[in-house]
Amino acid sequence: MKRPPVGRRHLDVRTILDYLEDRIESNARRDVEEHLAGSCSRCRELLHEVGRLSSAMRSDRTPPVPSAIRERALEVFGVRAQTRTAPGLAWQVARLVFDSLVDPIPQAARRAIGDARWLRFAIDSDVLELEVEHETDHSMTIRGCVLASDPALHRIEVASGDDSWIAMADAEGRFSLEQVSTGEASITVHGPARLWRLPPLQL
Amino acid sequence: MAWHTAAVTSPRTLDPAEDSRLVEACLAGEPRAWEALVRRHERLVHAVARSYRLSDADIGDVFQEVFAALVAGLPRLRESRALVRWLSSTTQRIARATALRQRREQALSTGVDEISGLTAGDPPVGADLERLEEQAMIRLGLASLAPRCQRLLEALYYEDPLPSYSEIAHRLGLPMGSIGPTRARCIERLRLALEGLFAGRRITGTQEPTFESGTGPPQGIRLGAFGEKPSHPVQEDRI
Repeated sequence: MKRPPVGRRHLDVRTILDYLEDRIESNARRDVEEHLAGSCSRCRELLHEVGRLSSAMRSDRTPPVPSAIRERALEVFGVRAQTRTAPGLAWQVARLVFDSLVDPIPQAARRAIGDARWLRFAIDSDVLELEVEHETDHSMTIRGCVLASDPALHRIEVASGDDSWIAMADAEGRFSLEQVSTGEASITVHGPARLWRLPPLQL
Repeated sequence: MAWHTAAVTSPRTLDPAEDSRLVEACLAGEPRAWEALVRRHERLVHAVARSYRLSDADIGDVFQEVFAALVAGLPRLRESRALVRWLSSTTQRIARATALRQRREQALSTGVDEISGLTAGDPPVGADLERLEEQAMIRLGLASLAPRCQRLLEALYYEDPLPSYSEIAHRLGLPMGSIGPTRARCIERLRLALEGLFAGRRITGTQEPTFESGTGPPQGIRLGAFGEKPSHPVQEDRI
């Protein structure tokens, strides 16, 4: 799509990226340079920032860390030990109280969440809300919120297939897990006062 | 079973408190939080250690020593920026000491005539810490973006050789014409996520540039400092 000439308007990030990578025609290049040569410090600053950012990314060729080396860092914490569970706590199975796949949902809410699936689980007064959004046929994003005391001390684990994903909730109980494999998922929540296990879910 | 760590909070922002939460969980004895913390910062430690051209075994020793020191220092390191700075400087200190020890041992086992030859031909070692820290923070910012943005920027900026736009379009299921605008939006989100990272860290050794039309990227600024063209040729696919 052809973009209007720069003229006096401020440069956008796309124009700056194209300029830095020699992806614009000579006329457009001249417009950009005339604009930058003027008194627009805002665009010069943006040019610096975007240029520095893309340069830092392009020059970053640090290879992935070999797993054998990572293991040595994990050893110092004794990570090979089983996950600690607080003494005296037993697993409790949470109750599914809402599933947008089967429960009726108001039209306005449906519009708001699009194709995402909403689920709500509860144990006593503690609640776990999940929003499951498929990214592709094989992967999904799970966002959620733990509504319980000390939400930031809750860890959420999702096991699907041979993989597992882990997230820590923030101060408001929110968390997000991305690129989770679709399929049957086993979800557990480790809180300071309660260990939750959700019924098996097909996600 | 492979564990994947996740963005702890909203995937749209780089949450400065994420490391703090992981540190808290580590202090509570939570091993998976430790694993998440290691995975978030391991590339930086590894990259600094590698810059001293140590053997694989020595890199492993340095890596372990740095993270062992981190376990002890956790209560003081709850903020991402401080943690990144501490990790890079601690790795540099330990890696440099290891490299010097190696050199001394090598000198002791070498004849007098050969000692001067030990260092003469060696290129300088050591890391550009500021650069590596910046790259580490950008990777943290990248991890906070939506998956599609992450995949697109990884393909456009981290892959070598750079895949063509048509290949990226096919891989990500995007129309080719949308790659340019999507890239710009993703870069803008990354820039906003990192806002504050570059605050107060203006490019050094540069003056307000002057531009002459048609001369290409501004010459008054070192390309190494910003606006560096990709080391690999930009694909010709236009959008």
